Amino acid sequence: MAKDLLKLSGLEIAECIKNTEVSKDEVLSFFRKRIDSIDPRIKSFVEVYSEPVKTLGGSNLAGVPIALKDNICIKGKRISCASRILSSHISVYDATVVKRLKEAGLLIAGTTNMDEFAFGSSTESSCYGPTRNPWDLERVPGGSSGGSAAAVAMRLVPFALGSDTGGSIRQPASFCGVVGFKPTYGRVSRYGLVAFGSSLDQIGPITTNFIDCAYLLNVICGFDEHDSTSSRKDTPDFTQFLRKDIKGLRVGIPKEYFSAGLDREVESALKEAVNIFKKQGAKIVDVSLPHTEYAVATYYIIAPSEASSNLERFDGIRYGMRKDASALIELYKKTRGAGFGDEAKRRILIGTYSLSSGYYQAYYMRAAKVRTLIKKDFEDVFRSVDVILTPTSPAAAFKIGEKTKDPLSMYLSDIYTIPVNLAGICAVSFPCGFTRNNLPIGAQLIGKAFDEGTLINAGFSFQQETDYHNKIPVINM
Amino acid sequence: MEYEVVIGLEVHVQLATESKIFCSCSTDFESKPNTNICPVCCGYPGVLPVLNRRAVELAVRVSLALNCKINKRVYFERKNYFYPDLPKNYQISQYELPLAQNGYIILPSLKKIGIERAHLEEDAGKLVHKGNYSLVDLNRTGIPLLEIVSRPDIRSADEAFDYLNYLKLTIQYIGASSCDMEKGYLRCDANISVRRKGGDILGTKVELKNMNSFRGVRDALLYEAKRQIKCLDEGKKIYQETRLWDEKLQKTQIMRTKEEAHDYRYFPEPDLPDFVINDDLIDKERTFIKELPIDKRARFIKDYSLGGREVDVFISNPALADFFEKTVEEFNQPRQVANWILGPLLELINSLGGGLSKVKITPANFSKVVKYFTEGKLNNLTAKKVLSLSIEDDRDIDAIIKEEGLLQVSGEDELLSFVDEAIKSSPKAVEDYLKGRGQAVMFIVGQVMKKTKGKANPKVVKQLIEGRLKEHG
Repeated sequence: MAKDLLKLSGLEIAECIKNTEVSKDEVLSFFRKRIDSIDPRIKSFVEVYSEPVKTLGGSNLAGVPIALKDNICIKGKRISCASRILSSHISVYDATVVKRLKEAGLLIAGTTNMDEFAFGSSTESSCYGPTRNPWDLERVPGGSSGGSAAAVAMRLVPFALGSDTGGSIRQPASFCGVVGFKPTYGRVSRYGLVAFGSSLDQIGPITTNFIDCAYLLNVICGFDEHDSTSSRKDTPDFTQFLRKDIKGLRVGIPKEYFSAGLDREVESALKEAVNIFKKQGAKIVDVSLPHTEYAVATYYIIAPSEASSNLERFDGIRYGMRKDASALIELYKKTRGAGFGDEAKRRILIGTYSLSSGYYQAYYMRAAKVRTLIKKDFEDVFRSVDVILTPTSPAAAFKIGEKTKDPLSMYLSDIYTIPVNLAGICAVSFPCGFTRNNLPIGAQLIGKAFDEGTLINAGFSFQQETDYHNKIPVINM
Repeated sequence: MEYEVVIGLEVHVQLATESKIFCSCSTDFESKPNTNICPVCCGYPGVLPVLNRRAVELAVRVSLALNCKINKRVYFERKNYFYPDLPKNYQISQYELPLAQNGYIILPSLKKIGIERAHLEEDAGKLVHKGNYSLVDLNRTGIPLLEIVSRPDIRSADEAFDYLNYLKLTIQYIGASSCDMEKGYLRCDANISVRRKGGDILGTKVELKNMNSFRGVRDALLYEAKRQIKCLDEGKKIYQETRLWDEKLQKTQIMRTKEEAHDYRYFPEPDLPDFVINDDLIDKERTFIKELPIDKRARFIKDYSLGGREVDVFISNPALADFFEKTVEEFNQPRQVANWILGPLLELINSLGGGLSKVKITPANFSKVVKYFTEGKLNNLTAKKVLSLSIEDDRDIDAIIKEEGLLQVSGEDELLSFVDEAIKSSPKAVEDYLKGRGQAVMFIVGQVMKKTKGKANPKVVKQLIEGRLKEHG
């Protein structure tokens, strides 16, 4: 039985439970054992619950365990965002996605590791230490949702949730060889997601395949009165897009995403992916997104600006860590000095600077304008294509420690994912090949705002033709 | 040298919503500390604000009453600063584009004071300092405030007082806030500078904080104007700074200099999309603006020929003004009605305590008291007595008069026997009167009033006594 579960998707496991081929407890103990034996090598989990969080209802995913990135609030459970400053904090309420998971009968099994406050692309800035890439333990799983991606890749849990501000779901999904979906801004409620860049953040699923992805999106998407930025647009049944037919689908290939800096192996894997889509009847169109080169710079003004403000509440007064001091300002300084890691401090400094009087116009305001241009680039291109196909990251997973001394090169690993967040549209990373060193390569499909369905359709078709997503890393114990 | 004082006021008004501006907690901040709070107003990790539409509606209502231009696209910004009473360490406020701009308010002097802007924001909490530690009460956190900033059009402390008073009355009249400054529903900071009279360049301004009443604002401005003028007279420089009013010492003291001012790093609040004020909302709020205090004041003076001070009592007390107008509808002698309301009625209300709410007598019933007094059916004494018997339960005035037999006796035939008896029993007074002390007659009048249990018409009695005594003389 054990072997079967490993090869089943989340949906198939739920069906087995429904058909009483396997019990919920058996499923739980299967994954629990896997976590206990394997995770000490990967360190993808921050906390594994001895009992899963109580559910309130059912769905066609009922009974399947799920892991949540450690920046999503679960009432009564520890939430740390992998930061010392929050390490002892217990959530007093459920995030809206958590409520939805409970209502769908999914079993929240634990929380996963991440870059501190989601600041990073490697999960190395976690206060718990790095998570390792299950395909090569010397390498990073990507980030910031590296714990979720590694756990799903290693089948420690059938699927997980991550959050994506500039690529934090897609880039680790690409590094770990799984499917990571960033929905359109406003599709999933942010209520209960600890804010990083409020105008960019979005929760999304990390799964092994597009079927689970569609089912999980059905659970988490939809308007929420607690999030004023969540959309009132109707949420379609995403599973209706699980069709193999993509005849006539117009796939845009933006030249700016295939230029200098792109790893050869990644490039050739992408070319192969293009061929597969072509073979399935898609129409390939060369397109241009001319403001792409400004995306990283724009992002590193807007995201840290919002983050510097969002992180002000961590001051030691009401919750989390407090360093005692004899005066107020000293208390703030000591608490925040000891509580935040280097990357968090760096981003708070960048953001505070960008918003300061005298610099606001030149930095934040300018970035906001460029953001509008980037958004317009996509709108223009989407008049002639249905989806855009790009690499998810310029290269496969890098080595632990390789980029920690050079933040700029770290930031550049999100160069292809960042524009999507700035534009507020949707995108998904899925495995499209392996390097010679057996590291997964990810392809990214970008869709129009609220057109997740087309991405699911294209991704599902791709996975009907390919087997990359069924590969499971092997760890020599 | 003659100087001119230039004052601008920043007033924060707590809008009368049931729930807070960005969450559904009650706005009752006087409850036990930290009972009307939730994860949202406490700034817990992951929470998001949701705008309370009612706060926008009330802000629009005030802005209309202040003749402002409404900016239909409402968006919020974050004002970032660290303080323990501010859970997120940023306040959701408005900066670049306030909800309303370019209004004015007219004072009784008919001077127009410009309103520069009015914007919506959330209130902070309260710190309670206890020796070497402080406690935080977040009940107040997130209560909607409208900040109303005047133009520097105010030229004296008294004018500032008038401005505050008419601003308060205007907002009270339209039901947008109680404006009770003692309880903190209204707070006021002031900017003040002085310059040579007739000059057109503004002097260096000083910001004054920590005034807890309108009188405090006036006193602080008076003090500060004197201080600044003295500085200039002595050839000293005035520094741009923030000063705190010390109520006990009756002086202002420096709090922080310009260099110590915060950089608030305002930027658009990403958690709140724009709120668009449509015409329906504006039209609906306009219906709540009936007669404003300044217009009512003019009408009372014109229609009822009342004096400014009398009118001011009515303007400050709209319920009393309503009572007045309804009484006048029943008995069209505004002078008499005003006398009876501002005199005996207010006296009675004060002695009862509890204000106008205790008063149950209807204007129609009350009008009879005034009418009977004016017509001579009741004298001052009996009229007051009747009023006191009806005020708390609206007992019918006619019934009281009948049951208590209080109808004034004015018939000479009826009164003559009482008059003769009183003259007979007051030889000393008669003697004094005849010696030329006219006042002595009042003693005899008193005797008659006593005998008639106050029902006699004192005017008639006096005439009768004087007639009789003349016969003697």
